[in-house]
Amino acid sequence: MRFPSYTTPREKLWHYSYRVFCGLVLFFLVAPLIVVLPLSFTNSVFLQFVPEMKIFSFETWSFNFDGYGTRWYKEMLGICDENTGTTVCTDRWVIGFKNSAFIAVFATFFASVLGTLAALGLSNRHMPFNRLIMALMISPMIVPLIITAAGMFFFFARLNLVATLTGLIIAHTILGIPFVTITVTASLAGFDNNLMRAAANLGGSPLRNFFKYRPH
Amino acid sequence: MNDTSTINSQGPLLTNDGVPLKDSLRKSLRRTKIRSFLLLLVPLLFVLLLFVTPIAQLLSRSVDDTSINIVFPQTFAQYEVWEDKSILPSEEMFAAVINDIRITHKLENSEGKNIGKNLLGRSGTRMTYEFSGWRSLLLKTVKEAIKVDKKSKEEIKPYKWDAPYKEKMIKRDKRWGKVEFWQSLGAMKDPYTMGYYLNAVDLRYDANKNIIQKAEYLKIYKTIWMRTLQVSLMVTIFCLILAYPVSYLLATLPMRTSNLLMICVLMPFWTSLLVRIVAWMIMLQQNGVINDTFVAILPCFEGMVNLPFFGATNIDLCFGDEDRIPMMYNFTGTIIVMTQVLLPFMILPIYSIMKGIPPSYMKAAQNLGATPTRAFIRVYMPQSVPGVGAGCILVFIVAIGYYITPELVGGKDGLMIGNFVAREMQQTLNWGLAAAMGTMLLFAVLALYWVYDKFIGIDNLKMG
Repeated sequence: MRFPSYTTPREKLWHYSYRVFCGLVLFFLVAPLIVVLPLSFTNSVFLQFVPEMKIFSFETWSFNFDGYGTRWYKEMLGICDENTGTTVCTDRWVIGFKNSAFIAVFATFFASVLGTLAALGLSNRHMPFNRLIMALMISPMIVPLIITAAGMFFFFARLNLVATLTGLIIAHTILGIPFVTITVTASLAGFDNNLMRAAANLGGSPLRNFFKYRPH
Repeated sequence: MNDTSTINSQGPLLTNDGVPLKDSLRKSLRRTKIRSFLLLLVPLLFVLLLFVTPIAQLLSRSVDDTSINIVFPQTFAQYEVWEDKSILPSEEMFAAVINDIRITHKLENSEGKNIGKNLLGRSGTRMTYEFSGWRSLLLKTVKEAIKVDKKSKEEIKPYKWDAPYKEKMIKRDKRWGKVEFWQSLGAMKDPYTMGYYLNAVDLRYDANKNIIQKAEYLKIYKTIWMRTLQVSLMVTIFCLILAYPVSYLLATLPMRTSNLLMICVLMPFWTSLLVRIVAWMIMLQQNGVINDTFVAILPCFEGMVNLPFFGATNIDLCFGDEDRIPMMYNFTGTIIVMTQVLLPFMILPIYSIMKGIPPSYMKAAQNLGATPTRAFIRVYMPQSVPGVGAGCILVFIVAIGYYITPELVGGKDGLMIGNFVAREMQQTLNWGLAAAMGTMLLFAVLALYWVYDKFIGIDNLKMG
């Protein structure tokens, strides 16, 4: 870091302590994520760094990787390993992965379509109750999750949708709509509608214009 | 060229096809409105039907008291004519209770399945909320009033008990002779009740439907509400203190560096909440990374030291295994984890506002003689206020309804109102109370949401 020649020592000190503070905050944000990685390779059953996981020993001056292995990855993939002996053979994690992927794909699709439609509709300034509808579309993000969950539980119970993939997809679609609506609204705000008018003037159908000329 | 679109000084402005321009514009405006409406129709209906309706139904549970009115219509009718409520009611009311029980017990749904027994059980639970002991008393009485043949499951008739009931009931269970039980019926006789709301703030009805304080040992929710507020405020303040300098750094650094650092903010933001909480457990628990580090690197000094003024003193400055700080499963854990989880919600709005403040303003202020500090406080900070406001309200809104984090890391003294809503839903099964607490929480959040919309505008909300 180069400072101008007139910088006082106090300013330098202030500058460095400010940088250190910011560094610490950013570290505070990512530290937990970094910690998870090595622990996922543990061989122990405890959610902590057990003594066996010490890589370098100062007493014997040697490296030691005995505490590490892919035990939990195998368990997660449902691979049975006779040698470790402790692994219970089960495919529940695999089922979980499949469910997650399935729900995520469908919820993303529906939320994207519905959120984009809403954002397009709301981009019209002349639309009555514009603000109210916008608030409504974003509300799933604002309403406490526990209230949404409780409400949907009772509602879905009547429709026999509790503990079904359909129910989960619906719930996650609703929770995803605000994020799509916000993002699309933000990018539409900078969009010049004259481009669409020009395209229409040149003979494009509205649908074709939408897919060809909407900004990315 | 002399077609119709040329300006006609006599009549109104016309378009190519001879329609007045005003009409044509109005028509086209209406068309765009209809188009927008059609675009909106599907998402709006989806949200209204599958999000707003379930929540509205949940809220209606917080005042709903109809199910008990279905079970005890005659009893409540008798309650109305019960004159002196400080002495036991007359025989008619005792008989009404038995009649109501017998009628309800036989109730069937449209498919011919008995729902009466279930209804009676639920009524007992509901009555216990008003006065403890009701449930066991009611179920005991049901058994006495109706004898069921074990083989055929039919009611044995004639009933063992017949009128007059008053003395028999009191003889069978002394509680029927207590006027407090009868008085508590008053709080349930209307199809709508405010009882759950009173319960949620540690109040209750007395016999004459006056609102009074609950007994001291039953008061729990006021503490929880205060703690929810306290946690939300503390988390908001900590987030602001941590986020403001970082946002400034991100906004002023060259694009390439700031984008790199932005990953540090966005990566945890997009990571699953559960993963982050588990990560914090690894960090904060008694044998966690932080405590291990403290034990490993903090200096250990123990022994006698000759201090001036104090003389020889025994000093123990050792951070050993017994000194490990409890940072998880308590209030501290909730605060630390929630601050980390919500920090991006503070950084992103402040950053996006700071990004729009031209750096030349600061330079101009310094050029005019202000010190950097003064220029920052008088010129930069006021312009960043909208971002700070947005971030604070957003973090507070999200924090106040938090559930998962306190549930997993909060232990006993870090729980918030969201956890108690869940508890009433899943364990106590007092859905009315859960709905009442949820409604209060929801309205607090909606009020803040309204404030946010009023001063910042929800269309300015940005998510990275």
